[in-house]
Amino acid sequence: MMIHVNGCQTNVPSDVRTMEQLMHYYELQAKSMIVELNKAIVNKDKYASTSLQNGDCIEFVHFVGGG
Amino acid sequence: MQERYSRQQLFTPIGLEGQQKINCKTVLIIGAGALGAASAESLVRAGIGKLVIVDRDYVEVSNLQRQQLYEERDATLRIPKAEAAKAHLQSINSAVTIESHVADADVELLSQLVLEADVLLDATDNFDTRMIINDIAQKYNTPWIYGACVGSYGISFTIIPGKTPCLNCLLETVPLGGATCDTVGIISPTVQMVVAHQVAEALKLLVEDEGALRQTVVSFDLWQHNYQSIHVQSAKQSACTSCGPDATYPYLHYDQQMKSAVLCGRDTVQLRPAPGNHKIDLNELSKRMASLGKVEQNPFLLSFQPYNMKERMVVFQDNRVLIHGTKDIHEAKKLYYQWIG
Repeated sequence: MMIHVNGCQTNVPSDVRTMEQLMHYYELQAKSMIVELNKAIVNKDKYASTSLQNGDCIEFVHFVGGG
Repeated sequence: MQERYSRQQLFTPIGLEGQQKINCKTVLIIGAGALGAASAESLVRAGIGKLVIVDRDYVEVSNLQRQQLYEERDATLRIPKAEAAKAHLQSINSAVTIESHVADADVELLSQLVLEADVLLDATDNFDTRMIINDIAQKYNTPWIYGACVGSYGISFTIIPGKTPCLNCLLETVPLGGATCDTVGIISPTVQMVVAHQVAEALKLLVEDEGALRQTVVSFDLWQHNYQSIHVQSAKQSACTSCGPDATYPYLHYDQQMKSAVLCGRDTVQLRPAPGNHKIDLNELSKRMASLGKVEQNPFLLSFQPYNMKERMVVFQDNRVLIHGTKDIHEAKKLYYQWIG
């Protein structure tokens, strides 16, 4: 499946079908992220039930602590 | 037009009126590391009326790569950052009132300092303090500007009580185990980019141009060349315990336990004994430690390295202790009880 992740066009394996699987694929920690799918924020409790489609635009924003 | 600020006043959204507002406002900067030093310099040059700086740490040689206000001499003498920052800032602009606090940014101190602040600027290195800032900002109805960075990645968000989502809405819990300056390092351009976003937003607030605020979470990676700006208004939670109608400000609740934190970018643990503890007498401690290891003292702190040990302890006047040479909180506490009592 071809999707856009943080502005980069990316081909992800066919077994990545949901937002939760995509975050797992990128080894992202759900707790410190904001996730946007096609310009809409995805609630934290909806990652598993949010399916991905070819051409989706996903933005991951990671809250970090350093300073 | 004041010659000093003429170029800033020529910028139409600020103008003479905006400059006069900047000249009589107060900003509280929490943290005087890389972010804090850079935003402090920027605001002092811009002619802020009063700047209040809180920082618990002192200058070390590993800070000099990115913490722009400090010099080799500050590191050699282990000058507390808030004091070193004040001295340098005052020589940049003597008209600005600068107040420094060599202390932990805890609930008690921030509750007092927020009262005169028009804007709170986050320059901390940990989420524990940010959650306190978030609750303080909501309780006292004062805007605050989140900023953070690791490696080549940075992020910022301007939080306006009653309008935007707060940090608790966005995160729900305090994130643990994320990347830190300890694990992935930090380059100074990342710091500068975060500060550019924070100070620009602060100036908008100071000149009361709220309509110009960005309203998005901005994040970027300077090494990978990406920049994101995300609208998060839909993430505001009506039942948020920090900013909802029945807010309880959960991060302000008093805790009598010793507090501890691993310091970002340092192989160091900070321990802060419960507030009811007796003050440590540094002169007495110096005598007690003299035969047990290497002791160095200045008016602000005492450094002690036991013989044949890699760890070094630094005790501040307000009872805080930094244990250098470990990232393990339990090990740090053990050393604290072992050597300081």
